[in-house]
Amino acid sequence: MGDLPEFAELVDRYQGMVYSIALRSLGQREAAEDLAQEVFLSLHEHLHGLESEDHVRNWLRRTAANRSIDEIRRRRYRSGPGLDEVPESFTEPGDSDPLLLALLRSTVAALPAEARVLTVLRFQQELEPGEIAATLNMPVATVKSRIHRTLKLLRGKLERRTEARPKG
Amino acid sequence: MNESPDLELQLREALRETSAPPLLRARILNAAASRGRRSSHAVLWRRIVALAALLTIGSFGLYRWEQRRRAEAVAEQFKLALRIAHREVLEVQAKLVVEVPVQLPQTN
Repeated sequence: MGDLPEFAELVDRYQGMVYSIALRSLGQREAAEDLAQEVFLSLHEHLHGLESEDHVRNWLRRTAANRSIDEIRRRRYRSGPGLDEVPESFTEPGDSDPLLLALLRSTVAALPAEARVLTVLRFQQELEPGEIAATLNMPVATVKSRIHRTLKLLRGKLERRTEARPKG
Repeated sequence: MNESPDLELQLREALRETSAPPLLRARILNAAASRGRRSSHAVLWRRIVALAALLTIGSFGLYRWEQRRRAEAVAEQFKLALRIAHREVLEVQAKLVVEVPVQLPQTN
């Protein structure tokens, strides 16, 4: 295992990252905790094959992202909307920033699996399109076009919200 | 807000990392320890099953070897009996030749 910290130390350092990816992807705290636990248990089994802390961080990010996609897809078999059927909002729009942030979160949470996780990796984890492509095993061009589509979709929703707001 | 840089800033704010729930660390470490214990129990049971299988196979092999050894001993005894019987037959034939001369038929 080389110079890698102990497992407990790795949990301390990266539980926030793994939990946040899961939380913003799945939109539910309990599901995010379950997923984070499964990701770290998997790390516990695969730790001997990881050589550096960078390797561990990338492994955790990739595993959390891909498991989130799997989990979203599993749920979407029952009731998921497609990219073009994203609901306007799960929250009432308002003037304050917390409501705007909640609107953005709920809109992201209604995106299809890959687009949702891709958005989290781009705007939460600050990964470049090339890094996201490597993490999700998809072409860079696809990553760029999905980010573009997602931003366009979100912008459209926010514009419609602004237009729908009573003027006064 | 409607410009892309603003939207991206708002997205970063909306999706920013949060700290994990306080009990998540303990939950993960407990689960890992529990899985480790289950794993070591599983290893122990696998070893016991492997040892039992080895003993069973070994016993069966020993049984087969003993059966073969007995069969070979019986075959040797049978061959010895045949050799003795053959020798006896030859001796009787020799006596018959001496005591009862063969009378060849007369030819003209």
